[in-house]
Amino acid sequence: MALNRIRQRESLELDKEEGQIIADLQARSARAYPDIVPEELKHSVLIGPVDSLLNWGRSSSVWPLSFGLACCAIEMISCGASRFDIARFGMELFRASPRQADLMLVSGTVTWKMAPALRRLYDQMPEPKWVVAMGACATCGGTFHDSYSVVPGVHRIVPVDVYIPGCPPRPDALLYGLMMLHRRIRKSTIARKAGP
Amino acid sequence: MIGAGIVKGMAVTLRHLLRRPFTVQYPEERLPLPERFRGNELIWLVEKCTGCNTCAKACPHGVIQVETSAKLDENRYFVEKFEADMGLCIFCGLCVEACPFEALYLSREFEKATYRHEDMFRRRDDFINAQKNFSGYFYPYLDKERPKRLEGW
Repeated sequence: MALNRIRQRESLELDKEEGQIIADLQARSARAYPDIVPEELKHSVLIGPVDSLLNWGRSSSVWPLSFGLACCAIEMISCGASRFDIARFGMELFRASPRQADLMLVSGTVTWKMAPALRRLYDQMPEPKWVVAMGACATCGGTFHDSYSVVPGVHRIVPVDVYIPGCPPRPDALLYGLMMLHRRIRKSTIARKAGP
Repeated sequence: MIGAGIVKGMAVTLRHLLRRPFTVQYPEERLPLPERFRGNELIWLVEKCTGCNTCAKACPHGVIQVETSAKLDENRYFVEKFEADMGLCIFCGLCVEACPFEALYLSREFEKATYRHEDMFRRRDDFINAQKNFSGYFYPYLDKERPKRLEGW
């Protein structure tokens, strides 16, 4: 039914509709998401042990969503291979479905054309979820940051937990960023929402 | 002969079984860095800089911003502002090559991930107080004593 409707439409209309989605997102993304600053831990007697158990489980089995957009993805793949073996941190499974992933590893340039898809994938990921911006393109827009088609920093689309500078960062640097993410996950508590 | 392929395959498996592990246990052991490794940090020497703005002109992204004041400091302009956004920097080293007074270097540090976007921004005081781990990029004499070749590659 829906498919027929789409087929009947003119391609110009489809283009317009898609352009409207992008324009709406562009208008909503004028301001970047504020960073989540970890507050002082306020563990009560009851939630403390539950927190430590949950955080241990969450931090040692972060499953990333395979989101390779550009050349940073090569370093990400290298990080997953046997030399730098991301499996040592319990995150060897690069999931193809956002519903099975905890971590969105944005590696590469995000264009405004890709931005609605990125936001949708982020919304489809189950809580708790984390985002790592890898490389100059994902953190600040990179070489074409002043271009009409490039998102100047993925923190305009989704809230980012860890920023990794570099063009691209070494696999070691990525592992360091992921260890920082583990540290952040271990500080989170169920007393308040982990996300923004 | 039946089973020759299996024997050949198992020989390969056995050879790989007896091999040294290939994985680098990163936080505990590290790969040796190349001698002219370009790390994710700039090193700025305030005592050598004259505020000539050559690095800012050479930068393809406009990462570096330099401002000088007319107040003369030992027959030089006083560099009031030297800022760089390390998140936007691609560490191409063009500023290092452009600097006529050898005031800019690339670092060997690469563990520069941050929780906040603002933390990647380097101001004048950050550059002065930063730990200076010089890379041999464009200045090979800084790297005489380091090993020439990577081991295990």
